[in-house]
Amino acid sequence: MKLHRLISLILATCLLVVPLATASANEAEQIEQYRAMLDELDALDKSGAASTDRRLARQWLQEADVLVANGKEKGARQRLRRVEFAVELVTALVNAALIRQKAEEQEAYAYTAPEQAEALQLQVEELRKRKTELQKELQQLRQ
Amino acid sequence: MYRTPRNITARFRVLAALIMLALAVSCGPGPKSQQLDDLERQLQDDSANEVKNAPGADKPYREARQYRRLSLESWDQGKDEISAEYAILGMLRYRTAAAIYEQHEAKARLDQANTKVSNANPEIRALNEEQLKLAAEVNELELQAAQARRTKEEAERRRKALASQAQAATGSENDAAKAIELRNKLREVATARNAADAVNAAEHAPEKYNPAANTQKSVEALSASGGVNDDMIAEAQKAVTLFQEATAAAKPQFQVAQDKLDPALRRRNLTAAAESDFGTGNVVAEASGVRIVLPGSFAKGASTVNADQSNKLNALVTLAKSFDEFSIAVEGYTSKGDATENLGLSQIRARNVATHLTSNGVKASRVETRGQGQDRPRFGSSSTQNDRVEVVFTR
Repeated sequence: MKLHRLISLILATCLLVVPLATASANEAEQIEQYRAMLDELDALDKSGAASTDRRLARQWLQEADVLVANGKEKGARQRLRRVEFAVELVTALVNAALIRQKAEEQEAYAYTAPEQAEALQLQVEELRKRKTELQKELQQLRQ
Repeated sequence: MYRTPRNITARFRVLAALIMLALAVSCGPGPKSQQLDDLERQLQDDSANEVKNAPGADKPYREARQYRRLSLESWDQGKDEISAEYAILGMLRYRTAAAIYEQHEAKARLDQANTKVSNANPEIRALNEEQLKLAAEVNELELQAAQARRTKEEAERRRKALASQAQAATGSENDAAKAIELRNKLREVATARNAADAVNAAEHAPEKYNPAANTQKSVEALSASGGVNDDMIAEAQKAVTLFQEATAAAKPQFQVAQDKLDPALRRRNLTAAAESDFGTGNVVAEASGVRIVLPGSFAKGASTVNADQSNKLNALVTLAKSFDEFSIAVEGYTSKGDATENLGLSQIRARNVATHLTSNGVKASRVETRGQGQDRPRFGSSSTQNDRVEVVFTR
């Protein structure tokens, strides 16, 4: 039991404390970096699939900003950890949405392929007819 | 049945464990945070199995479980705030794993759709290629046809222009000939009008002269505006004819008018005409006029002209009209009888003849009457020839 608890503590240290230590190096800079990343994700998330999480991430980022300004680095690091995970989540959600959208487009294309083929066939027939007419007309005009 | 010390020890241990369990339950931590509850529920859901097996999702999934464990331990230690924080982080990691799983699902769907598209594509591609090829051919043919049409239209235009020029040339020649004809005809009109003017046809024959003048004016106006046609020439000819007719109609009256300018000539003419109508013996030339005697025109005592004298009265009317510049004096006479009665009778006789004249178109202002009674017998004192009138034309 003790061993298990120890392992858990080590893991927690690795997962929480080490990144927080990195964040503490320059929280303000990190905040700016995350903000830029979120801006890019905003632009990518046209379907709005991750809109709630983006809003939440910005809220945490804002809280981190306030905490940094108040000298509460521990709280800021906590928020930044959430933001880090949230950015990763938003990235995955946006990617999933983009792939899904592309899949839908391809499905629609595949669905309408027979219609397209039919429309193209009609156009081809029209063009053939017009070609014949023009050939006849030219023959008459040149007589 | 004996109870061995070993059995007693075992029983004691079970009892101690139960007591400890009861103590643990009664003195354990408070309720789990909402975040931890949510995380645990999510991880225990059936879908979690699918998530954890998705490629690339295992790492965040594993981290989610680790955060759950940390959250539980913190909760177990009564550190609720840290427990909630770990639960939040765990939930974020789990949802990341789920999103990665969704990516794989979408990717599989995309691959499937791509397969369908690629199956349909060869046919569409072939049709597309044929359509592009035909469109290019048709476009080329359209250009050639347009060029050929233009060429043909140009040739047609040129042909029409040549035909039009030829027609215009012919037309110009005709127009020129007509213009010359019209000019000549208008000269004829002018000549005819001069002749009509020379006999004062405007006054003596206006019914011919005025239409001729109007026709001449309209034809000249049309000619001045550049028009030339057969109708104009015909109208000009009509004007010539009308002017000639007007001249012919006006000529006698014009001659009369000319004669009127010579009083002696007019008197001579009047005398000659009167002698022709009434006999030489009944016409007497006077210094300022001509006297015409109508002997025995009345029965004795009668005031109306004898019926057999009506021709003479009509001849008198004609003479009065022909010599309209002369004044006319009608004098009544009687044969012998009662002088007073005959004076009145002679006046009545004169008035009756004057009335005949005026009622037949001779202006009353030219005519005067006198009753001469019985005192101036021309045919002996007892002759009934004296029952007469004498008409004196004076100028």
